[in-house]
Amino acid sequence: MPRYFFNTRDGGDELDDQGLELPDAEAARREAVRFGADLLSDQPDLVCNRDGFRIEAVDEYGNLCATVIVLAVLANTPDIVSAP
Amino acid sequence: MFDIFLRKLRSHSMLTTEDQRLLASLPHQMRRLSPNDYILREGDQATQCPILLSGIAFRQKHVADGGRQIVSVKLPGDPLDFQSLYLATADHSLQALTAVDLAVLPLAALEQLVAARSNIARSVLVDILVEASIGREWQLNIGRRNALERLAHFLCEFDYRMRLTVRGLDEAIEIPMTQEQLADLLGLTPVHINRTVKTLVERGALSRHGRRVRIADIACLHRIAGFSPRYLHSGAGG
Repeated sequence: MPRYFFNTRDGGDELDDQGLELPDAEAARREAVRFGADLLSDQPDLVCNRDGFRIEAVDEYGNLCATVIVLAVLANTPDIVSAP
Repeated sequence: MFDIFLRKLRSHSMLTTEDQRLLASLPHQMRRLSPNDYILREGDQATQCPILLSGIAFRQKHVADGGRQIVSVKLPGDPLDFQSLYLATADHSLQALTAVDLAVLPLAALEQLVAARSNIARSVLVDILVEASIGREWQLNIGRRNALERLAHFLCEFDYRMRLTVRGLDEAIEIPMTQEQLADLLGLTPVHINRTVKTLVERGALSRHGRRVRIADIACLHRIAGFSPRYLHSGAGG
């Protein structure tokens, strides 16, 4: 089975150097969502930066297979208030 | 050969020299199993009680879709099935994690000894109670500790229990579980286990040697986990 790596990006990027063997990119996408859910339940503030929180599933050749993006938007942020 | 088993029982219960002699002279067969071999399957009606003399085993339960939870880890010296003295049918499976050596006792002989010797009966009960206490701590661990504390707590317990019975251990105990096994044990995804191991390595609590991970700083792990060994009830028997 191919090995996939799960990198997180939330301003301070963290690269996965171990990876996990999975059958295909679909399985990697599901694993990325589960991993994100795990991580965010411990550290909800990971979703506080404006670009949100990303998990990228990458195959062993460095090809991006799936990205999971989580955004949180507060209704009263200056950006939203000043929008036309 | 039974030394490690007697040491385990003595870690929580008082046994006289005669009690120990009787336990050590129980009839038994030696068995060696490979990693992943089954020791007991859910639904089995056991007639024997295996004692783990070396290696590591685990209890597991499955859900309908095949997902599993490792609900208990058994270490050298641990009796693996005192429960079958009292309950007829196994409610979980028991599997070898590493290669294991077992001394397999006939339950009937053990039962006779338990009926005849009150200290031995008490030590069997206490062993079952300590396992229940560990189960409660694991429930707390999985239910309420974050990933870092949760993994650190399990490793503190592993280190503490190994040192109770196994003699001549190195300063830095190696962690024998794979990332998938730790995930099934702690209710986390394997990728999250990797990430958490990495964080513990960065903090100096663990060290990596190729694909193997060792406990590098147990005091640091204790601090991260907020570990107290009270629930392990060792030293009660003197």
